[in-house]
Amino acid sequence: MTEDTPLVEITDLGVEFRLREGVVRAVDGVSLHVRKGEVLGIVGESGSGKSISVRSIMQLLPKTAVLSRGSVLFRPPGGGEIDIAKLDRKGRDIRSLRGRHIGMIFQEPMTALSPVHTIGHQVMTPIRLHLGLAKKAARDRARELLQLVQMPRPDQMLDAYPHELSGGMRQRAMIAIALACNPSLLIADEPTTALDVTTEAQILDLLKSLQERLGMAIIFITHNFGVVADIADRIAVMYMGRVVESGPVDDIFESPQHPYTRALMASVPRLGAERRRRLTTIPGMVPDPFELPRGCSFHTRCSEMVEGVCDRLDAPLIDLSGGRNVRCHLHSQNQTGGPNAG
Amino acid sequence: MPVEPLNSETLFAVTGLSKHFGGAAKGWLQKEKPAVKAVNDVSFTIARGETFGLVGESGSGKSTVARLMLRAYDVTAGSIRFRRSDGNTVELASAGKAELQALRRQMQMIFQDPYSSLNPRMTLLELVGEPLLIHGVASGSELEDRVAELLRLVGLRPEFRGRYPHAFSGGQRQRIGIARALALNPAFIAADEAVSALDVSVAAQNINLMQDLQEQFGLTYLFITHDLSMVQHISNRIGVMYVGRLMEVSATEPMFAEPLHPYTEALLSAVPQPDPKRNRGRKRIMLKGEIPDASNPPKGCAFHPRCPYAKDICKAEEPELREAKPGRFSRCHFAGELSLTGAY
Amino acid sequence: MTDTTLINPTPVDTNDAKEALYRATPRQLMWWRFRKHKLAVISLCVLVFAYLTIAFAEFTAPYDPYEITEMATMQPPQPVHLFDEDWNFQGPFVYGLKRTRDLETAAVIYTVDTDEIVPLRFFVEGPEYLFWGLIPGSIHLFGAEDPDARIYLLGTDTLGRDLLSRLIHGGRTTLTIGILGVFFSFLIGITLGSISGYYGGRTDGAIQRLMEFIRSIPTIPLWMGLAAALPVEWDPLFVYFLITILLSLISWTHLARTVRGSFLSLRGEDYVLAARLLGASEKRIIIKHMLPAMTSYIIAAVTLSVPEMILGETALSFLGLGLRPPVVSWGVLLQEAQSLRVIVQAPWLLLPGLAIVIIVLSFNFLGDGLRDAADPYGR
Ligand SMILES: Nc1ncnc2c1ncn2[C@@H]1O[C@H](COP(=O)(O)OP(=O)(O)O)[C@@H](O)[C@H]1O
Ligand SMILES: Nc1ncnc2c1ncn2[C@@H]1O[C@H](COP(=O)(O)OP(=O)(O)O)[C@@H](O)[C@H]1O
Ligand SMILES: [Mg+2]
Ligand SMILES: [Mg+2]
Repeated sequence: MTEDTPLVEITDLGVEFRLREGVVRAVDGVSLHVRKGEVLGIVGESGSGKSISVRSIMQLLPKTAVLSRGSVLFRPPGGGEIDIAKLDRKGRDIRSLRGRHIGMIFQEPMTALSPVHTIGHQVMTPIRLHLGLAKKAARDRARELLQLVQMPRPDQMLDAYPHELSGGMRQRAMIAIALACNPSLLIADEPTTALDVTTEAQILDLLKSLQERLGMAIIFITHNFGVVADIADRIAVMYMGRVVESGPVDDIFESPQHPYTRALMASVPRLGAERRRRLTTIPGMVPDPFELPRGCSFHTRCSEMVEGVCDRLDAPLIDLSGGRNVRCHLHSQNQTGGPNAG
Repeated sequence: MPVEPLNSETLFAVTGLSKHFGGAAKGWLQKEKPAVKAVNDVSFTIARGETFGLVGESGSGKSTVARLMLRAYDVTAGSIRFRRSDGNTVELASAGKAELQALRRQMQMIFQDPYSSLNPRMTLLELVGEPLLIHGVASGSELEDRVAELLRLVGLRPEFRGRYPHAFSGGQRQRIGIARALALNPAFIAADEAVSALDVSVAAQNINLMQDLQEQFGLTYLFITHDLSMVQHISNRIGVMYVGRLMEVSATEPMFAEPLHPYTEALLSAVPQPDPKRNRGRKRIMLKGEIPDASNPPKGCAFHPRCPYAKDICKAEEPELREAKPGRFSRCHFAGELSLTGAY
Repeated sequence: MTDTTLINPTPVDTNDAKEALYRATPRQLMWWRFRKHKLAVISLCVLVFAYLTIAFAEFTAPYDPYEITEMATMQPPQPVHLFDEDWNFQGPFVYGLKRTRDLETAAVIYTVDTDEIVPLRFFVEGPEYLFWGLIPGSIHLFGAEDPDARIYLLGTDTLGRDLLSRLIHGGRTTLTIGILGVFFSFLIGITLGSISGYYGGRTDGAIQRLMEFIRSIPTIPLWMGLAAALPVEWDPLFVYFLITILLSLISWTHLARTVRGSFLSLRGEDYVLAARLLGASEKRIIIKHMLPAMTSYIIAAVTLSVPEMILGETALSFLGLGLRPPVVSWGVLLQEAQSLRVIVQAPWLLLPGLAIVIIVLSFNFLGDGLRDAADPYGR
């Protein structure tokens, strides 16, 4: 495996919810990849399918979800290649990946931590399970991990229960558990959304330094452009179950190519920027997931919509130079010079 | 009770406001719990027609201040003077039931949670019409007309009035809350994290709506949020809260250009910017430790255990909120002496 | 000046199925959710059937529950047939029974006599009764065509009384004790629960302690003590009433807890604060905002506490501490079936136990269904 072979490669992933009211295509043809040691940021508004996409990597989907198409290739460091999409979601193969090669942290650590076990116990569990360490050795490793995540008073914290911790400390405990077996991939689903800015800054700082030290790849989900700009190397912007644009972080912030990315970036007020009287908005509302519009799912709100094209045909995924992708008709019509290209 | 009148530009003057929850034994045969000092000695003024932003991390007492100003809670100590629409000044902290009832028409609140702030068992007509009914302003078809007008005002279709809140998205529910708050033509609206639960594009729509309404009706806002970029966008002046105390009060531009309190500096520095290149070049201040418990704040300045500039005096003595520069207040022993970095 | 275009521009079609959902009252939504709960709907039907049957007990029961027939003691149930032995259609009928004695043990033996066909007819003249003790009548839902013949669908007891009639009349006592008792505990529970939840503080503390005290009393010894104190010569109806009150005095704490809990959680709801800030009076807040949100939970809690009452009555009477013969109730019927001889020779006398199980289960399923349906945001 060369440096450039992705660690995880999601291709044309589809996840559906078949409900009484109809079928929700929560994820509809998503392709993503993460290379070794890279931080991929996924941004998008709520309901755009960020969580469902990354949960497919762990086969941690809700019971009602159906993985309808696509593949999720994972290449563990030992070599080889596993298509996670084909694994049984309760089987032994996926369990040996979860927590061992792939760690995950969530927005609300309280729902992921067990309230009846100490932090130490919960950090030790994956160590003993996957690495087969004895109790004493596992405890030492757990203490090391708590030090690694800069938990204050790690010795005391080993015997503390989650409810005794503040939000930021719980998130640190979650990170310690996720990193227990030195995973090659860490999935972080909005880990800082519930935290205050100063705590958020601490956690982002911690994740960045851990990533540098341990060299794992991170998939970081957020709806905050500031956070993604801070932590990601590459980003993918999602809308209605699709990746509408992806590429290196600097390029996307410098010249967003998809009208949705542009509109979304314009609608956030920026700290220290010139004060504007009005914020730019995206007209209309997110469409009903049961009745997705025909054609490009963004055309109903797009200011650059082309009549007869965008409302008829699915937007194609266009490869731009420099590892960038955009899913938009505007670029297919005019490959040489998109509206903002050049 | 004689009240010192406010000058004609001032709508609210809050002085030395405090609120402590609990403390005394709650019931018979129950243990005494330490009082939560949610708000401590908070003073600020709000001018007519302006937006006063209140920022701070969760638990810092922002909501409690707003609820005290609207007298949802009884005041532990301090004074809240309010300039009535007839020009007279009243003291809200000691106002009686009947007096408050009349004043409620002039001040309203918009809530954070678009789900729990609307009674799920009432239609839009009942929800938005309720204030009109309570104050006997309108009834029957007149009420329906007024509700239709209010719904149009916030960008909802009047035909929706027979629907229940469950039919609407978060952003739309928030607009229903705005329509309800506007129903009695208030002079003042406290918006408590009114857009914090919404997606960015929806939040932007609602913020624009609130600003349009402010212009149209000459409203005064208290805008509470933990989002510093949002507060910078919407506020004329800003108060920064920490552990129930107001650490800094100042007009927006000077505060963001050159903060007077180390906590403000730290907050501004912590906000991640949607600009990867600038983020890399910036040295951020990482606060150590955690926010103290409001029932057991540190001695001296509440911020001193985390403050990079703390000196001995900070551990011993709690500073007063004082005017460090013209029109700018800071609760720091060294206000005006430190050179602190802003957001620009 | 505001973006009126923000919200979907299609006109509102009031006949649209979706619009109907948007305009559905919370009660309608609750009903829709309830309907999906099959077991709860079936239970509701069972309970409606049971309560209709006991409401018209004099009419639905074929005979007087106290009528003793010496020549028909411990007669087994007579199944209903439509065709005779030669597959000729006869309409509903039962076969007659021949009563003989075992010559050695002198025990009574019943043998089916397939030659004797006793036709069963609906709305027949039968024993006279006073409906609810007021209106005289003699029409019964069903009975033998011949007014002197007897049909015992569920058999008879040791004194030759019709078990079905006793089950129906006993049901009237047991099932109304359930409802009445819950009504009393509902009154006490709601009053004390809302005072406790609304005022909080010292009052709340005092009521809480009282509730904890009552909950800590072991119920059976308490019942025994109180029942022993009831003079034997008192009117059975009065005893019935006392037992009801006794049961509710113990079981109101559960309801009070529910009411107090929902008061406390509702007091913290933003929409209650919003109403207060709009200037709504306390009365309006309670009536318009708090009670409607609580009713569905209270209905569910009430439904779930009916079986407790029914089981309480049964247990008391079974132990001989509650109602006593001649009053019939399911507990009394079970008490009469206590001896081993009865269980061996006339197992059908245990049928009231089955009735109790069915009713109690139905109330539990119904309560569960209501509780699930009551959550406005539940799925
Ligand atoms: N448990 C579920 N049942 C039904 N639909 C779901 C469920 N979870 C998610 N969805 C649907 O999938 C879509 C994407 O969800 P999600 O990935 O959680 O969004 P995000 O993380 O971007 O906010 C949502 O719009 C929602 O309609
Ligand atoms: N009704 C209450 N009873 C007891 N404590 C309260 C109550 N409301 C708020 N508090 C406490 O007061 C402090 C400030 O709360 P709040 O004003 O809600 O903060 P913010 O709005 O800034 O997040 C917190 O520590 C909170 O726990
Ligand atoms: Mg999510
Ligand atoms: Mg708050």
